[in-house]
Amino acid sequence: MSEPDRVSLAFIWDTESPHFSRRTFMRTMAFAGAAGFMAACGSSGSNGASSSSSGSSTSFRLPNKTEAKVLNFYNWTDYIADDTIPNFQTETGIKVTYDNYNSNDELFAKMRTGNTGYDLIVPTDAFVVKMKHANLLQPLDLSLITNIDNLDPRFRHADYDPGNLYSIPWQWGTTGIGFDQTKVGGTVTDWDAFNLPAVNGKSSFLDEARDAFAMALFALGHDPNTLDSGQLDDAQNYLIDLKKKVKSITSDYQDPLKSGELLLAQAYSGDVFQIQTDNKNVQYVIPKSGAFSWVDNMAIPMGAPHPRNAELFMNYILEPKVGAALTNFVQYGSPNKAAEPYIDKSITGNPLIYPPADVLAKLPFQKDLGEDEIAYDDRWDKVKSA
Amino acid sequence: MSKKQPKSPLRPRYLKLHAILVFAFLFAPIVVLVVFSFNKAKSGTDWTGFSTHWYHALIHNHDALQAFRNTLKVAITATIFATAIGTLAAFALTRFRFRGRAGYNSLIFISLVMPEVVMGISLLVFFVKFAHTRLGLETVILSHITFCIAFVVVVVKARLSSFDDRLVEAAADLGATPIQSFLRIVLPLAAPGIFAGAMLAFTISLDDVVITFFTSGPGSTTLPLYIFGELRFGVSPSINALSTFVLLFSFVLLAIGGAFSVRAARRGAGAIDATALG
Amino acid sequence: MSVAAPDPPVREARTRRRNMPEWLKGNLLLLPTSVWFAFLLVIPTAIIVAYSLGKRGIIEPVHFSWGHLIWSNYSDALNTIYLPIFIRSVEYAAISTLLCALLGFPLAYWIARFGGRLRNVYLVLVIIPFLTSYLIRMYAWQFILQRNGLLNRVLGHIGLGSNHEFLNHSSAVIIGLTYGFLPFMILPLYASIERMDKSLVEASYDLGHGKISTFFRVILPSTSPGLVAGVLLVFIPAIGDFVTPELLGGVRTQMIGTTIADQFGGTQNWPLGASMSILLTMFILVGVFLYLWRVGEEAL
Repeated sequence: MSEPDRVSLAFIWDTESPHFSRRTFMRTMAFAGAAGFMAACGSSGSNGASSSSSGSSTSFRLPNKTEAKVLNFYNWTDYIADDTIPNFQTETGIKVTYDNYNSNDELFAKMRTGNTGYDLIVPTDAFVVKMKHANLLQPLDLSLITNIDNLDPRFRHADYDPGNLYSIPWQWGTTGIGFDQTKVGGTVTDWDAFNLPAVNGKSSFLDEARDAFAMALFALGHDPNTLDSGQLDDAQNYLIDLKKKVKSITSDYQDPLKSGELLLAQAYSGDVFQIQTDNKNVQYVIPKSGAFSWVDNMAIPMGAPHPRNAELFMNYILEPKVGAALTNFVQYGSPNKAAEPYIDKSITGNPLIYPPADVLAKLPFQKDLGEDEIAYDDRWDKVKSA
Repeated sequence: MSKKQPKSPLRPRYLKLHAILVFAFLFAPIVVLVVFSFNKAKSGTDWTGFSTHWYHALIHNHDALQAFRNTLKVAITATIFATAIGTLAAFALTRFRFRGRAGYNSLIFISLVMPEVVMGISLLVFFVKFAHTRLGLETVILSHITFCIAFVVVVVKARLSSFDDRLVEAAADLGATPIQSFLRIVLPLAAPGIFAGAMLAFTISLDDVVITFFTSGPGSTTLPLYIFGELRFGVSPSINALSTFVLLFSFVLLAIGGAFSVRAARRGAGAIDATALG
Repeated sequence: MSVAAPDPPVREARTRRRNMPEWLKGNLLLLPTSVWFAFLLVIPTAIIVAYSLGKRGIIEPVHFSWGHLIWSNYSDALNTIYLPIFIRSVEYAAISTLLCALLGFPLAYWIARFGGRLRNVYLVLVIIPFLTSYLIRMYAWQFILQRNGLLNRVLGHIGLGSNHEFLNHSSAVIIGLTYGFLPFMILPLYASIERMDKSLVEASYDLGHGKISTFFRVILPSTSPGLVAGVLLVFIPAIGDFVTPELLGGVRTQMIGTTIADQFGGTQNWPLGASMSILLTMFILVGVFLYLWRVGEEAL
C-alpha cells in the first residue's frame, strides 16, 4: 500500500493524526461510496439467470414457454428439505428465489397493499380463506397439477378450500399442548392442565387470536368456530382469567420449553417433536376436548408474474418421494397419501402426527368467518390490553 | 503534544472502572452468543454440549449467506446516503436562521416517533400504489435511508450547536471562499459528529426487521428477516456462528486500524488540531 | 473531489458572501433532504392520516372517502383500556433513558478525554456488539436472565438469592431497552463531549471549584446538546418499540408499540392503528418541543 493510502486508513481511527486532511477524508468516502453503489447495482441484477432446461420426465410437464424460467417462492424459514429446491431446479431449469416471512399476519398485511412480486406463498388455512375473500389469490389451473389425486381425501374437500381451487396443502399439524412431563406434577390430557399448581406462572399460550379463542372455546365445550356472542364473551373472560396464570403470550416457546423456563405451552405439533430431539422430557398431547388442525398451503397471489411455474412446483411437491422427503425433514404431517410408504415409520406410527379416525373427528379446521371475524378480533384486542 | 494528565472532576481511575464495567455489560451477551455457537442442540439458551457442526452447516447455508450479503449492501449504501443528506440538513439547521426551521425539526422527529409497523406499511403503500415501483433491494435501501437520516441529523446538530460564526468570518477576512471555509473549518469541526452519526445509521440499518419486511421483494431477504423467519422453528446456532465470524472480522479490522493510528502518530507531530478550535 | 480553488481577491469574496441571503443558503443546503422527505416521509405520513380517517374493510384493508371521514377512530384510540399500556410505555422508556444516560455519560466522557489516540477504536468497540443479530443478542439475554440463568447464579454466589424472576417481567424489558439503545446515547454524547474546551475545566479547578461543582457548572452545560440529543434518540424510539417486549416481556409488560402493531396484524383494524400512531406522534412532538423549550433553544 502506498503512503497516502495507509494514511487515509489511519484517519479513520485517529483524528489527531498530522496527516489528517480533507483530501484523504474525501478520497476514502468517495471510494466507499463507489464501492457501495456498485455492490448495490450488481446485486439487483442477479435474479433470473436461468439454466438450460432438461427433458421432461413422466410425471412432469414442460415449463410453460411464455413465462420466464423463474419462480419467486415466499415461505417460512427452514420449512423445506435441503434438496427440494435444488432438485426442482435441475429437473425443470426454473430458477427459484427463496425468501422468508415469519407470520401469517405480516404476510397478509403485506399482500393486502398490492402486488409484491411473489409467485408462490404458503399461508395457513385460515389465511387462505381470508385472502380468498380479499381477492388476493388466483384460482389454480388444476390441469397442470396432475398429481393432485395423491392427496389424502381429507384435504380434497376441506372447509377452507373445497376442491382445492386455490391451494395445495404443504404440511399439516395440530395445535395442542407441549409440556415437560417431569416437572408439571400431574398428567396432562386437556386444556385444564394450565391449572396445575406447578405450572402456575410458567406457562404460555399462543399470540394468535383464533388459536387462543379456540383453546377457550374447546375448554368451555363450545364450537371453536362459533359466532354466538354469549359464548364468545365467556371465552374472552376465560382468556383474561388465564392471562393471570401464564407467564407470556407468545409463539416463541421453543427455547423456553427446552430450557425449563416454561413448563407448559400451547404449541404446534411439529415444533414439539423438534424440541424432543434435544430434550426427551418434552411431550406433546392433543387435548381431549379438541384442538384445531391446521394446514399450511401453497397458493398463488393475484398478479403473480409466473403462475404456471408455481403450479409446476406444486405438482412437483405432490410427488410421493418429494413429499416424503419434506415430511421426514420437518416432521409435520404430510397431506400426501401416496407419500406414506416413503415416510419414516417413526412418523407414520406416531398417533400424534397420524391420529386415528376417532381422534381426527375432534380436530376441526379453522373456519374463516368473513366479516364476522371482527367478533373475534375486537375481543382479542380486549384480552391483550387487559 | 502535551503529556500532562487532563484534570477531571471524576478521578480517571473510577472513570476507567466504570468504562470497563459498561463495556462488560455491552459484551456480556456477545460472549454468551459466541459460546452458544458451539452448542450441540439447536438452542440459544439450552446448553447441551460442545460441537462445531453449526459452523459446517453455516458454510452450506446459501440462503443465510445471501441474506447476509444483502444486509451489508443495504447498510453500507444507506449509511453513505443518509450521512450525506443528514449532514447537509444539520448544517443548514444549525448555521442559518430561516423560517420553517421548527417545521423541519418536526419532520425529523416524526420520522423518529412513527412506529416501525406504521412507517413500513405506509412506505409499502407508497411504493406499490403511488410510485408503482418493483419491490426489491432498491426499495429497502430507500426506506433505510429515510429512517436513518433523522439519527444523523440529531447527532451532527448536537456536535455543531452554538457554532461560532466568527471563525468563518475570520476566514473570509483572510481571503477564504465560502467553500474553502466550509471544507477547512466547518467540516473538520463536525467530523467526529459525522462519524458518530454514520456509525449509528449503520447499526440501525443492519438490524432493521419491520420496515425491511414490508418494503422487500423477491430476492431481497436480509439477514434480520431471515433470522426472524426462523423464529417459528427455532433459531439455529449457525446464526451464532455467522455472528461470531462477523465479530472476528470486525476485531481484525479494528486491530489493523488501531495499529495504523499508532504508527501514524509516531511519524508526525505538531500539526494544527482543528478540533481544538471548538 | 479535490479542492484546488485559487485564492480570489479579498473584496470579491466579501461581496459574494453578503449577496446570498441566509434563507437561500439554508434552503439550498436543505434541498436534498427536502426532496427526500417530500416523497418518502410526507406522502407516507399523509397516507397514514388518511388511513386514520377511514373505515376498516375486508377486501381493502381501509376504505377511505373524502366525503365520509371517520373521526371515531380517534375516540376509539383514546379508550381508557389503552391508558395503562401507554403510561407503562412512557415509564419503561423514561427509565431506560435514565439508565442509558447514567451508564453512557461516564463512558463517553472517558473515551473523549482519556481515550488518547485510540479514541475512535473505543468508539467502534461500543458499536461492535451491535453488528451481530439483534435477535441472537436477545436470546443471549434470555439465557442470562432466565430462572436458571447466569444472573441468578451470580446473585446466588454473592448471597443475594438465586430465585429471582427477571425474564418476562418489566426488569427484563427495561434491561433489554437500555442495552439496545445504549449506543444511541453514547455516540451523540461523545461527539459533544469531545468538543468541550478542556481548559475550561482546568480553569474551574484553578478558581477553586470542587469536582461536583465543576461537573454541574462547566461540564454539563457544555455537553448538554449531546445529552439532549441522546435523550431524544433513546426515549422517542423506545416508546414505540415492540420487539423487545415481545422477546423479553410477558403478559404484564405490554407496550403501546405492540398494541399498534397488533392492529395491523391480529386485530386487522388498520384505521385504529393509524389513529393511535398519529396520536402518539403528536403527543411526543408536543412533549419534545416543551422539553426543548425548557432546556434551551441552542440544543435544537
